[in-house]
Amino acid sequence: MMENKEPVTAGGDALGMQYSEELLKRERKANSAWNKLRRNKTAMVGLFIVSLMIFIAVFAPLLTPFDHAKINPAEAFMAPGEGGHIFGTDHVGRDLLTRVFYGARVSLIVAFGGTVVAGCLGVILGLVAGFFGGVVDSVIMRIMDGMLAFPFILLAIILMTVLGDGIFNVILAIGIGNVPSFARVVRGEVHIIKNEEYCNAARVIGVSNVRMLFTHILPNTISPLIVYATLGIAGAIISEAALSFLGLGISEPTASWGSILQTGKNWMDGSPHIATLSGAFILVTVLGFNLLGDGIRDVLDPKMKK
Amino acid sequence: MKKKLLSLLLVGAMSLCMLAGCGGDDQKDPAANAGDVAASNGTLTVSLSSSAAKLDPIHYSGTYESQIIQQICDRLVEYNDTMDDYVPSLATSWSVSPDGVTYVFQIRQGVHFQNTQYAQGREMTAEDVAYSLNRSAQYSDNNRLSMLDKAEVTGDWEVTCTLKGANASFLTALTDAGNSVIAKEEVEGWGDNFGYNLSGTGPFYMEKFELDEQAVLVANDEYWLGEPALDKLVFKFITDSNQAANALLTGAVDIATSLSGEAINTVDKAENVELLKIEDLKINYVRFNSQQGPTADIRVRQALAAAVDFDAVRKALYRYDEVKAGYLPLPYGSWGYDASLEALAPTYDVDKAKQLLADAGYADGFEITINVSNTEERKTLATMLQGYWAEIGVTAKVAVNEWGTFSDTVCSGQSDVYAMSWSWYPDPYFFLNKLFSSEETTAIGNGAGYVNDYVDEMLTKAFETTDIAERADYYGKAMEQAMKDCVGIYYANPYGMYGINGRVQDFVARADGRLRFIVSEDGNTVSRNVSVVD
Repeated sequence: MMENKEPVTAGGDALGMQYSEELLKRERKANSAWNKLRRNKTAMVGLFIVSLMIFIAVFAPLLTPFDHAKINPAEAFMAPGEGGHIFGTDHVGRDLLTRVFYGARVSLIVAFGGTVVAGCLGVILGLVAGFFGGVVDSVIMRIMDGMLAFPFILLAIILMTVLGDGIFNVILAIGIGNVPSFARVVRGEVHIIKNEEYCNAARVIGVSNVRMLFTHILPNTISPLIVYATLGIAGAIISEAALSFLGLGISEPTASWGSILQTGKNWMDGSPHIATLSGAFILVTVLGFNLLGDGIRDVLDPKMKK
Repeated sequence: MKKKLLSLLLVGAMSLCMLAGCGGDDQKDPAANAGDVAASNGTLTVSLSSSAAKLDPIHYSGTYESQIIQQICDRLVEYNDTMDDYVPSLATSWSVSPDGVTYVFQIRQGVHFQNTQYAQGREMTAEDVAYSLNRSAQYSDNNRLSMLDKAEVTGDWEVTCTLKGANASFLTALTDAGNSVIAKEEVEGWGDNFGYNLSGTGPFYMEKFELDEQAVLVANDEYWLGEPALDKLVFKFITDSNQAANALLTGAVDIATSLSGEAINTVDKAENVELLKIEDLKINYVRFNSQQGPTADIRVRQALAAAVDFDAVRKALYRYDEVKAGYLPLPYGSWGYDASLEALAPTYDVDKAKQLLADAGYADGFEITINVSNTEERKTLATMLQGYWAEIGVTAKVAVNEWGTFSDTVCSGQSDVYAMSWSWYPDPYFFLNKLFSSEETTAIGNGAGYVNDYVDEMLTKAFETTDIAERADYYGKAMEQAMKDCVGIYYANPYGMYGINGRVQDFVARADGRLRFIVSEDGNTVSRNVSVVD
């Protein structure tokens, strides 16, 4: 009887194990961050917009036959579609589509660059402040609070006035302006993580502070960081546009969405396309990053329930 | 999901805010004050394109300041509305000595100062005239009466002015707001605050002056020429032209001055307002540093001038017909204008430009900086110059600064290339002497540092002579030399653009851009008295 039963049971078990392994695999796959994100429709719209903008920025020279800096005053203020210019021309006769595409480069480089600068500095300050606590924490965080007390745009304007214009300086200004918020986010996370079991365990076996910070704590602050950075990029695009709009950002003839918008606002009545199109690109891109950032947050934060 | 909705809403709101920001809305929205202005009858509101700060006649620097000064104070003589003759004002008559050095003025009797704190409405005397002229001759920040040696009282109602040398432009200089007649006790009483409490013998007195906001003037019913038809005259400082046009359309402003760009179109299309256009005594130009940098070489200057297609530049820069094409360093309205010199203006020829650069040893180009003040028109021009010069291998950097920094840079002779405009009187002295005399190299006029002995000689001869035809001849020769040396490109003669509400009566736009509200053509009777009807 036993012998008779054995294979059946064994077979059944084997089948069950196989089945559950399959299920586990599928489940794991389905619940991976990417697949969760893929199921989030608005996040995918955001991702599509962001990818499209990156594509435009990278391949800008190949996408239009015009030179972004070549002026042609005789053809200034052409309406969209006129004379082979899909988006028309600007106030000195440059092809607006080309300007907007090249503007995507500047805007994205500045946005990514600024966020990276802010992220690096902010993360280090936040880690140190959160981990060591006490006087170090107080000093760093009070300085950060001081910076936060300035309205961001005012801080950026001061920095731009001191540094002068140019892409690198805009990146720096936006980066420095965003450091305090990154530092705060990281510090908060570090405060929680450093008292987790595994950190205590690491401490017990005599892990050094540096190793502790960078291999045990930092990786665990990544998910809020990614979310914050994605949303931060959207903010940085707006900041760049605002600075260029105020005439403090990127100087001519380099195109940026803010500077196109700035000139366009002078011709809202006669040539509304200049301000409208550049403004629309800012709007859509910022929307894209916000949707994506929101989606990533939903995925990475297990506490968030719909 | 709620959060997502919220973020979407926020993004939407943010972009809306951005779009709203495009209109350049300002806290000091003039429309917000529309109610209190329109309510009182007989109030005329005028927008000025820049904020007046220095109202003391010896300190003023911009036309927007002189607009206010000349309502409050009078001068010895005035130009008539057509700018072709002098009209007696506080001087009833005058005579000039044969050598052109001494001027004797008969002073008008029965003129009273405004009833202000110190002068208290007392009668104006010859002493006041002499005091005011001497003060301007000595202390004027912008040398507005530098040709005067001294003014003396030589009779009860007589003032004699002795010049440093013959100078045919003296009477013209006297029409300047900087040479207004003021009361000594007011100047001393107010001290440094005299400008904010300016008073004189003029048709309006100052009721309120708010920096960056407005100047409120009230009619002087005791005005010697007659009672102004306006009760109140308000100057509002609105720096953005589009905003000034909007204020005009909403009725917050009755006269909008110095309209430019899109604002012209806005006003032109509107129903209840009229666009007034008059050829200004003004030139727009680009100047090259003649002393240092690559542009010290005449071939480089010629190359830079030949590389730019100014017909195309004007078409894009002045979309609504705001200028007449210009060629000379004088406006068409000046009596020194000589059309035969137009042929000397540079023509667009890129090949020639490249050749000239190669000849000068700059075949690979060089780097220069273009200085402009922060108006849209200048910034756009600089962008275009940058684009054109890039084609002949010249890398231009554009430095945009507010007026103060810009003029300091130019005056110090540090600017390679700069673009600006110049406006003054029909007498070429006020253009050519200021732009090309070697004595003006530290001033804004000749900051490019052009020094030429022949030009200096012609300019001096021109103001030492009184005969107009002879003077015009000397000025022609000076201009010819300056144009051959290619120290600048004088590309446009702009129109003055005013937006006027239909309720304003009797307003005349003048070529010198002066706003005058009560005018006499003979010095005794009112020929024009601006009023408002509702």
